[in-house]
Parts: sequence; structure tokens; C-alpha cells
Amino acid sequence: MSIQVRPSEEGDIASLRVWMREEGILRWFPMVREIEVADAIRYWQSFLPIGSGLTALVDGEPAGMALIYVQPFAKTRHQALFVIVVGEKFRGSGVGTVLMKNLIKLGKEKFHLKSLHLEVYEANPAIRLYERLGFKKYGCHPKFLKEPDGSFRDKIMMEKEL
Amino acid sequence: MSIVDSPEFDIRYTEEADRVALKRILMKPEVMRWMVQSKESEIDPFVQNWIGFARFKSTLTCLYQGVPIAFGALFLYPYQKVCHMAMVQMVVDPEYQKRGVGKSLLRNLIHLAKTRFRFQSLHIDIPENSPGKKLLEQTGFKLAVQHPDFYFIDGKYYARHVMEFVL
Repeated sequence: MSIQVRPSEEGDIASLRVWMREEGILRWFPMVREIEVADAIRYWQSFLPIGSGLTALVDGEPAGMALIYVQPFAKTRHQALFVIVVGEKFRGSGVGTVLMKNLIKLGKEKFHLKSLHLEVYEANPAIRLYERLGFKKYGCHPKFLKEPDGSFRDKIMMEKEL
Repeated sequence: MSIVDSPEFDIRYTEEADRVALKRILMKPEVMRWMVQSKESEIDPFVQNWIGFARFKSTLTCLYQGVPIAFGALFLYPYQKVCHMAMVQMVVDPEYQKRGVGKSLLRNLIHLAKTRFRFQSLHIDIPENSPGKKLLEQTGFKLAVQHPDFYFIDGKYYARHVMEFVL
């Protein structure tokens, strides 16, 4: 199995749409309705022209995507939030790690970021990956998500100096 | 001296036509200093976004002698899982600061959040050294998250403080 990473292309959005429909994925995102997912994907897509998105390919097939939400403001441009999604059948095979390492490099070299940060909801298994890559928790926003069943979940915020 | 008890002071829902006054206040350097925006081309989309909440009646305008002098808004989230809360934005024209306007506006916003929207919490993002922090603390906002070095203002890094008010 070979994993390659290249800048995301418009055509990769179709894969993203598929992954965002996989069972259980929305547990880790603030979106729940289809219209919300479409809105989030449109927002993701709007960053592709500046080259802040990466796609991992496994044997030539898109397996995961990551994106840096590069800030438009001079006062906050030195840091940025990112997002990552790995297709269900490619999880646990190192795609996330390879994508993240490349994203960190991109943030540092292309966008001259001082730090990268992320937001996850409690119990997300990806927290382990982030910790391994050197991300440290800096905050927690309690009861940030309210699930359709009425239960609350905290938002955990992590950061890594580049 | 407080002006909020004056018969010439009023608070009402923000109207589309207030956009000019909102922009005029946000463009003042002593106001913009504490915002992420730092130029007109960044302020314009923000004003557009803010005024967009007028149709949901989640933004308030303070008037003194018929002129808008302060704005406060509940920025509503478009996603269902986070719509039990809102983000607050507030600005008082520096010429009318320290006269009870911010306090009155914030109380009205909290009332609106409770009664009209039935939110469970409100939060606001500010630079750690923002002069508005004192009022937030006095009103009952508590520091929920500190994000170090989030802002770069006039050559120095400042943390982002997420202040939260549980309704």
C-alpha cells in the first residue's frame, strides 16, 4: 500500500461528500442535517484555490483530506485552525498521520504559521493521533454540542507550535 | 454620568438602515484595535453579517438623542447541534463609553437570549487585554478558554479569551 499526498483538487470534493455520509462520522462534527454538511463542504472548497488543502491517495484513490482554514485577518494570520477527514475503509492504516505531517509542513513552509490548532468533541479517537503528533490541549468549551437526543458534549481545543 | 435613565436614551431592535452607524463606530481606531479586523475591506463583510441578524431580531441598537451609539448582537449559529448557544458581539461608540450604555445593552442582550431564543449559554471572544472584559466579568461572564498568542496586535501577541455566560 502506498500513500501519497498532493494539494487537494476540486475533483476530490466528491470523495469528501462520500466520507461525510458514512455512518457515525457526523458525531465528530457540528453538522447534522444534509444542508449543514453541504454548507461545510462549500466552505472547505472555498479554500482550495489558495492551496491550503491536502489529499492523501492510497494506490491512487483519495483516502483522506485535510485543510488549513487560513485566516484572512492580519491580526490572526500567524495561526490557524485545521480539519481532517479520513475515509472509513482507510482508517487505521497511517493515512491520518501522513496527512497531518504534511499539513504541519504546509502550514509552516507555505503559510508561515506559528501554530496550528484544532477543535474536537470529547471521546474522539483522533485525540490520540493529535497527541502523538505533539498537539497539546489548551482549553475546553463545556457543553458545546447538543446532540439530537439532548445530551451535551464538550469541545476540546488543542494546539501545536510549528 | 450614566445616560441610560435619560428619556433621550432608547434601545430597539437593529434595523437595516443602522448599517451606516454601525460601520462608522467599528471604523474608529480605538474600537478596531480590539477587533480581528484592521481595515475597511475587512469591516464591510462583518457589518453585512451583523446587519443580517436584524431579520432574526437578534441584534439591538442603543440610541441617544435619536442617534445610534451602541450595538449588541447574538450571532446565531447555522448548525442545529450548536444552536443552544450564541456568540455575542458588542460595540459602544467611544464618545459614549463609561456612561452605563454597555451595561444596559448587555443586560438587554441576555434578556433577549433567555426569553426570545431560550439559549443555554452565550460566549464572546476577546483579546485578553480588551477594555470590555471588566463589564463582562461584572455581568457574570466567566473565562472558559484561554487561547495563547491568538492575536498579533501592534507587534505583540495576546491570548484570546472565550468568556461564557450560562443562562
